[in-house]
Amino acid sequence: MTARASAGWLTAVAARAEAPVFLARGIGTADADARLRASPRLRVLDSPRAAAVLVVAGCVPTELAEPLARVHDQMAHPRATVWWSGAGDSAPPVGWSHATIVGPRDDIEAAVVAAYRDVITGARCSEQTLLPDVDPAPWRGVGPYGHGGTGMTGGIPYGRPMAGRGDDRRDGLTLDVVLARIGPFFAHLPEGLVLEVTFAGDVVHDLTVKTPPVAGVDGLGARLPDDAVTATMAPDRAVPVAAIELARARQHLRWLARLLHLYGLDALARLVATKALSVPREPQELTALTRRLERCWALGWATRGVGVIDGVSAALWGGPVARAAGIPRDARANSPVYATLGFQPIVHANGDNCDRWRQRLAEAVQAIELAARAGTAVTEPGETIEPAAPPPPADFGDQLAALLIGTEWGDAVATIASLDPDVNAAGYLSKGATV
Amino acid sequence: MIETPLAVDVAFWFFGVASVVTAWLVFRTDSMVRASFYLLASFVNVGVVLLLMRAEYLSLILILMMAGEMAIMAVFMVMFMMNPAGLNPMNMVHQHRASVAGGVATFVALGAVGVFARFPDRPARPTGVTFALGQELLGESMLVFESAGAALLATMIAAIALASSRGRYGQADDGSDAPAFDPDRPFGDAPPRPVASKHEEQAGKEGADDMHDMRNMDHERMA
Amino acid sequence: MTATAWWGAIAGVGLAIIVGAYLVAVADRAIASVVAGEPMRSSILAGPARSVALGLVQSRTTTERPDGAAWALAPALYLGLAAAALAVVPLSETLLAADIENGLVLFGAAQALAVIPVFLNGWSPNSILPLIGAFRFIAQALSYEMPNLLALLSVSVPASSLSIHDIVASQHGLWNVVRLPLGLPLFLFAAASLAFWGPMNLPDGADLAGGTQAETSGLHLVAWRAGRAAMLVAAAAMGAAAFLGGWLGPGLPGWAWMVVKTLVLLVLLVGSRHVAARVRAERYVVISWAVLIPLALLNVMIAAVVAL
Repeated sequence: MTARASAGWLTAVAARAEAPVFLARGIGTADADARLRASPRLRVLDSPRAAAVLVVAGCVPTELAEPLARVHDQMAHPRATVWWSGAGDSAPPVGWSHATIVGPRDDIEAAVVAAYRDVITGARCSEQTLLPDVDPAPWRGVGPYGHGGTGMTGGIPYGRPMAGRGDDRRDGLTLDVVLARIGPFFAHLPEGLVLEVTFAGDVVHDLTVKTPPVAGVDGLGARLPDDAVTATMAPDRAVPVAAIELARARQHLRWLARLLHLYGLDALARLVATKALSVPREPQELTALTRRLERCWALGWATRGVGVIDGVSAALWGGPVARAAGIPRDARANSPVYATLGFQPIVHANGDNCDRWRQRLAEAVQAIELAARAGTAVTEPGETIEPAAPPPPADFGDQLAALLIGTEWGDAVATIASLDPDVNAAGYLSKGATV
Repeated sequence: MIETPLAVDVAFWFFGVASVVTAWLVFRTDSMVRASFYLLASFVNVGVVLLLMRAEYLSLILILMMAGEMAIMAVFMVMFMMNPAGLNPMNMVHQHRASVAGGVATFVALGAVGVFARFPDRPARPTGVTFALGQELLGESMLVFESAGAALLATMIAAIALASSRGRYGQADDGSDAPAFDPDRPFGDAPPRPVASKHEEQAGKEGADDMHDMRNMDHERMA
Repeated sequence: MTATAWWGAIAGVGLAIIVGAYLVAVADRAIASVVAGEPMRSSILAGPARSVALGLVQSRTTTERPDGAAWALAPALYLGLAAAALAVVPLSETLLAADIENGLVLFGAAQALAVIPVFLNGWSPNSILPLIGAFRFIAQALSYEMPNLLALLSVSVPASSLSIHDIVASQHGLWNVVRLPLGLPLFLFAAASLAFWGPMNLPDGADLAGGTQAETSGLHLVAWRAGRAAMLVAAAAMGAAAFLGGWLGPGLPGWAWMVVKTLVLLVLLVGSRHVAARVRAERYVVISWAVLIPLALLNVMIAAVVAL
């Protein structure tokens, strides 16, 4: 009786903590990260282990159903799932009958907090595992010492070969390499992307991109409504310039919030995420932020000279990546309506991670200025719209490998994050790109 | 005999036995990382025994030095020869006869020192032990010794600077490769990085076994 | 030492660790609110307690074939080392938990041993991202340990003693922060690195999805975070004693000065997390070896000149 009373007291206190959330991003989830990150009542974690609520956002393609279940099973008890994509009354996906279903326009913050409180206080049962807890492959080793293999070292435990020696990539040290698969729900990779990375210590020894899932095939849940206005290449109707530019500013600010979190600046990330949710209408409101980030020598120091993309590669990536490398290519420069607004493309020179965040921040400020100036101006039907996050080049995998092999994992993650490719963009997938 | 409080006697036996047991575990465990940390535990226990003997400075320095050394040992072992997290079991004992002979000989020699050496029967002064120890070890040569220490440190840093790729193949953080052996290319202009082949990971069981044999040879060589 | 004194010392250090770690968590939230431009909420004070309660409610997770014993040992060992390091720092001229002649060496030894639990916490789960975090911390530790020990050594030279009591007493009239101007910055760099806090958070960074703590949850995670906070407290207390004159100061009683100085350093260390981005591992190592070690050697030479 006493034990139960004290447990009740403890859970009551715990239920008032910030809800630890792991966000599994499906397709079409541009908004998800910023909306969760901006909330003071939630704490977005990078690892599912310590999370109490799994938020599944957007459409999860069928290929990713099993990895998603694995993420779910890794969470500690008590745990709950909030499925953030369907309409409020739609049925939960098969196997996820315990999940809360939240519609795309519903208050996700309230739903997550409610799920967290219920599951902590015991009003809702902690969810059971979805997959059987078995080893991926049986132990195949033998040996005189019971250590699983011939000679001194072990065999092939659970189907994973021993680390083999890789050739020297960098500094004259030949180290053992370990193969690992990162993704598809790794917080700092584009949604659905899977990397097969061979690590030699902290260094990326080899890297292969597995095919990102194809959008719009069959999947669990539905896409969240995102700012499709900047993702569409050439809509056959007139679009208000102000809407395009505010969506662009929002996309850049969301991206910046994620980048700041990656560099450990969580408080600033929350500030930027809040700004991304309600994009300021006056460019002056970003002046203080810009000045603060430009003056943050540690951020410049951590990003300068890392992940340099210039010349032909930069042109292939296009969009802000190209402009950060000094290529003034922007569809808006050829647009009559943008010409009347006095649009000039912003460029930076070095094409490194540092210039990419400065480029996007400057473009966000510029977009707000354009939106304020545009009034009711509209584009012409069929006019090409410069996307905020363009699709990656067709040889995405080779480009990434050339860029990242031999760098440290921290730099590699930061570089991928700084590119912000829209791997699920409609235009990209319809081209049938192979990666 | 030196009069000691009961608590010190109990602590002495506890840590003494613990140091022997952890030292024994070094050879009974099946992972290099565990072995090196058992060795560290053994050293820490010896350090505590030294502390009980009022050799405060010696005990703390022993712990300080061994902590760094064992960490480096573990990391090099995991980096050079172990996989996922070095948790795959492996046999840690080899060359049995030579080891047994060496162990017995060392035990006899150290035991003889313990039995036949004449130990002082006065307790150490409670203060000034560190100072006395410094005087005993180095005396008037302290300045020379310290200068040599600083010079050695500078030499080590210089050696690392020369050995690192920085300055030879460009900045280490560029992910630089050795220059091609090609007179037409300017020295230091690294060739395009080869796109790695995946044969190593995709080599099935046979390939992995070959790899083990190769690695076993390396273990023997290192041992 | 009598039995009462023993128990008093243990209770005192334990209390200092708990209160200090809680203060770190509160300061962290408060500074985050200021940086994010948010109003101060009541959750700043109560939030850490709620997080601890969540840790007690949440289950521990396990991985595929971990080294369970080493994994469980890691946070306890880290906390214990923080307590040992704090125990040698005197609160006032007469109030000292562990009065030993070589307090500075014990502090250094506890800091050196702290590499072991961090490595174990990353290695034991048998998982790739924590393992990389563990590797990173060894490289980091090898880089900061030398400037750290040299900075600590420099304060013992003018005092002609390895006892922290004597080192504080030797600053009567002129604090070490003025006498040895390079010492405190070097020491704070090492302190943030030791607790892998803020810009020095290489082993538990976001790019590794939490690094060595990526696979932990529940009580283990709470203990791990508490250990890091406690290590910051121990380092701040040592910095106050070794460089800011410890209990010396006009007006206030000695222990109050010590608490004030420790809190100042603690806020500096905690705040670094919200204003400075995480450094790159490569830069960190290069700066440590190529810049900080020479500076630390220079600092020792200044100390020698001062002592003459």
